[in-house]
Amino acid sequence: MERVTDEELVRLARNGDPAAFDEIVERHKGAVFRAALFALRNREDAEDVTQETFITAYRKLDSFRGESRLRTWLSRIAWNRSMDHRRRGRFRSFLHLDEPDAAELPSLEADPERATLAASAHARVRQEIDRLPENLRDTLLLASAGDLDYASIADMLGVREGTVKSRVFEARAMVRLALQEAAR
Amino acid sequence: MNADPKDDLDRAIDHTLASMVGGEPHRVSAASVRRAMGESRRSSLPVWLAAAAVLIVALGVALKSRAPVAPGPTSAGRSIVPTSPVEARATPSADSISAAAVAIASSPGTAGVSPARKGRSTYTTTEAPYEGLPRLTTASIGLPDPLSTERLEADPIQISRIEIAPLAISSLSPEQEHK
Repeated sequence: MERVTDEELVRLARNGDPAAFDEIVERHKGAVFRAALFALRNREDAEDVTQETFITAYRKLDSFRGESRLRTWLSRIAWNRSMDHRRRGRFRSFLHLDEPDAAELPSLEADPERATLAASAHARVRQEIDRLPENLRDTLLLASAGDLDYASIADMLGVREGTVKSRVFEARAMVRLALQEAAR
Repeated sequence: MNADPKDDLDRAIDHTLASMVGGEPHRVSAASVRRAMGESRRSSLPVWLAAAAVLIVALGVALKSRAPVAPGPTSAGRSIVPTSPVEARATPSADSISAAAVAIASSPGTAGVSPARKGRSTYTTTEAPYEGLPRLTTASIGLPDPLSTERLEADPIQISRIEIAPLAISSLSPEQEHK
């Protein structure tokens, strides 16, 4: 089904083809999960939201009019659900993202000493990203994931594309400034 | 570190962002979503059933409460013409109480309603909607005994004579005078 377009998958799923919806899930679950993870900053909650997103999408598939890309539509559902979780305070850890699994951590350095230094720098950068205002941090992470282009992120967040670009620029500038000041 | 700190910082930021935004869901798959959808459908079914039942009951109650209620045969606004004149009596006689009891205990459809009363127009108009319902009846009350005030014959009040000795200054002793 890899060659089938999203539009075709939606059409098939609407006609009751379970394999088509399975393909939609497999194709987009990563992007949906990451959108939820950036908002909730907790892997378990993000997994829950991802699951809920696809259930909602299945029920509302008829309302998908194809005005945006399927991935954008799904990510918007996930984002809105994540915002609900955030408001209700259901997420467990707001201040820090869960540490990724060991298998997911990029191998930084072969030399243990250099690896320690790199890990320390990595933690410092991460700390500064965590300190960013919520709207800047959300936009920076969504843009960095590469799942959605700026127009789709703007659509998802309900802002203009120019706002997304300026937020990304401002977020990076703030992190860089903080790191420069810390290095002095 | 390179000579250009901006390049290093940019690289560090990109590197950190890449580690933060990576990751795939471990639990979510097409099968898990399908399973969750089935469970969700099953779990939501009783909720819908309960909601529907509550709605039906509420509708029934609302319809019943909105149905027009005509005043009963014993209501104040209705003219009830008793078969025999109702008379006031200070204390009903045992006969009248037993008559009322007999009237209440009679069949529900015609409880306490005599054939003569049923035939009256005021009654006929309200008969159909209240068919089968128990009715309150006014039992005839017997003639009162004529009130009479019996003469009280009180015994004469006798007050026994009290004898008080007249006060006399000379009767006080000198000690008492000093006090």
